[in-house]
Amino acid sequence: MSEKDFEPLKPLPRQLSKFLAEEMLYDAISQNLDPSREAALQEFLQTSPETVAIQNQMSSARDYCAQLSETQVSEPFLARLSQMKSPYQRVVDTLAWSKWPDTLRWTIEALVVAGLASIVVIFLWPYISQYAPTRSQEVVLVEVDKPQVSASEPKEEEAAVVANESEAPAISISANTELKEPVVKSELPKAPVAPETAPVEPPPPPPKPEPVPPPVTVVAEEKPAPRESGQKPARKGELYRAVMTLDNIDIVTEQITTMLVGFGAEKAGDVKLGWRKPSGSYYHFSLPDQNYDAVLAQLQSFGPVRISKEPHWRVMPEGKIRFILDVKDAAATEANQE
Amino acid sequence: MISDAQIRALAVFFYFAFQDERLAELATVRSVVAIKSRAITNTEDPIDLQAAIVATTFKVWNEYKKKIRSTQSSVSQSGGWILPHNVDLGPWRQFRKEAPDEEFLLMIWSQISKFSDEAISRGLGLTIGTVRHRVGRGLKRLGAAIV
Repeated sequence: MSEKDFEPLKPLPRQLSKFLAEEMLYDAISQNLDPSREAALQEFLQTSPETVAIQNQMSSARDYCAQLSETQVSEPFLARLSQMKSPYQRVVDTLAWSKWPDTLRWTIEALVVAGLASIVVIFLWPYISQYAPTRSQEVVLVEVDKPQVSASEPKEEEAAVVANESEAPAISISANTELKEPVVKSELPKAPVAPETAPVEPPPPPPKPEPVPPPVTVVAEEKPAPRESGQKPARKGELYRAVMTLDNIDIVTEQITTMLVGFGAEKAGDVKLGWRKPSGSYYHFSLPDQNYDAVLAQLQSFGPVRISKEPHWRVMPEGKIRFILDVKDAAATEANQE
Repeated sequence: MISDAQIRALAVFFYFAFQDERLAELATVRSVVAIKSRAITNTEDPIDLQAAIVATTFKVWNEYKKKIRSTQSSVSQSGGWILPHNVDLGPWRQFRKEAPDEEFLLMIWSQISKFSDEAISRGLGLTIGTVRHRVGRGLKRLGAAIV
């Protein structure tokens, strides 16, 4: 057989089922079908009124939806919707740092800086302080010279000038110390109150009515000589107080001063021996204790002497006693009594 | 940035989806905020934009459909939506009551919001054929409700 005997088969006309036709209805009304399918569907529709009814319903539904699609939104409602923010966004906008008042921001910044500085100081100061320069906690009260002293000087001289700890800052002075000036005039315990008035220079001494006893050479003895006056020598931490009332105060002041100096007396207070005051003269001196009796006898030659001994915190060196003699002017005393 | 047209599309979708103005407003706000925060509208492709809106609205619908109190509509003339003159919502309410969710939601996107089948299929993760099949069924059901 030749090729002319065979003729190509002609395609059979497509026949749609109802199911397929209904499935293609949406494509048909939305114009998405190819021409062959469109033709097949149209041919089917001519034989199926039910499918045509369905197609009409679908067209009506499309028209109905087209009307619904013209629904509008009012402008106020649209504006309100467009300004809506999420809760997170609202919180962020509220807490936005740039929107806070300037005063509040500066206050918070200052508090944060102060807090950080406090934390640094509290936790890091122990490490920082060890590199900081430190000051000596010693306080220099007075500068003193320390002369060379022999080993024989007793240690008791250390207590010769010792400040009262309860009244003044403690000042310890070693045995080799020699004070230039009184350490702290206002702090050291004072002798009986010295008059505030300026000392009056005594007038030139008149002719002496009584002979001046010759100066007595003080003989240093290891042990003091026994005393006949009945008064025991001043022990450490004791003070002799004597009061006399004499006439011619100017004359006797000079005489008593000369006598005391002759017996080795040295001023122990702030004022000179025989410091004059309106009511008399004042003596504050240290005296070798072996001369005590001789001095007492000499004083008694001037007039009655009232002498007493009292304990005192100030300790004198061995062999020395401390004396305060108050010579009152008899004339001034009588005037005051009147 | 979201445009006014896109906000309108969201509002209209939820209006016909919920038929409850209060719920529709809440869902619309939720969708607007979600779209703004995710910067979905930055795309220049309209298909991608429609697909993003479809995905967002579908997600919000699933969140808020549990709050639908009844099948009865709760709309008024004083709400934020302005319906065309002489439009009866009866057929739509009937259709919404009878149709499954995927059918009437697709009808809203396809026939009311006028989104393309490709955008809807991309937003929901469906094939175009599935989308067209469901839209066809929805048109049949809505057409029967109109008759």
